Amino acid sequence: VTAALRRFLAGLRLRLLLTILVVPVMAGCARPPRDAEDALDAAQAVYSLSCVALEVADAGAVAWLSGIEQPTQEDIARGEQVAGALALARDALIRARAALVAGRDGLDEVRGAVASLRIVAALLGAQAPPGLGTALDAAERAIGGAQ
Amino acid sequence: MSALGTALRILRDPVVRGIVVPLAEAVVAWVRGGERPVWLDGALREVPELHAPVALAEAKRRERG
Repeated sequence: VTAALRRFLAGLRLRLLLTILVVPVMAGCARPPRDAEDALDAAQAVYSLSCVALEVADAGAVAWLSGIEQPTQEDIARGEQVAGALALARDALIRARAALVAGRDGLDEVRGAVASLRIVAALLGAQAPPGLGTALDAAERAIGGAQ
Repeated sequence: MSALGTALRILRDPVVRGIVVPLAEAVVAWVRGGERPVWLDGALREVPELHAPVALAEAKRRERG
């Protein structure tokens, strides 16, 4: 169990590290697009960042739920809200991907996914992985710059 | 080990450096007005699968005892 936990933490740290590396680049890219191709590029970058945020939020939810030895009904109710918001975010990202593949920017869908991930972060509270809020801030800035 | 120490250890890892450094250099060059990295034009990644529903189901089982 300890080795598995170490592997999980190492993987989580690596992903957070990659997110931290990506965030300054994303902030630099968050400028008004010159044309439709720029908007599509920005939407693809925000989509990729949102996928990382979804993975990190999901990993945080798993770590929290797995760490409760004797869950209460309140824990289960909160867990259902977290799982529901994660599923909403994932569905929105699936629609965003379909839009991007079709050549549309899909920014509305990515915005919906980020909003759902905000709910997940709020529900997880202190259990939310560090860096998740920063990644969501960067995604929102990039969406604003791509509009 | 602190989070900073862990981050530095990961950054010093030759495999991580071999993967991350070229990617970061290409993106920085692109942002500074250079050529767009070819790998950015590749297929969009798939939306990741969720593992929280499985963890929630296990938590429900423990709650029922």
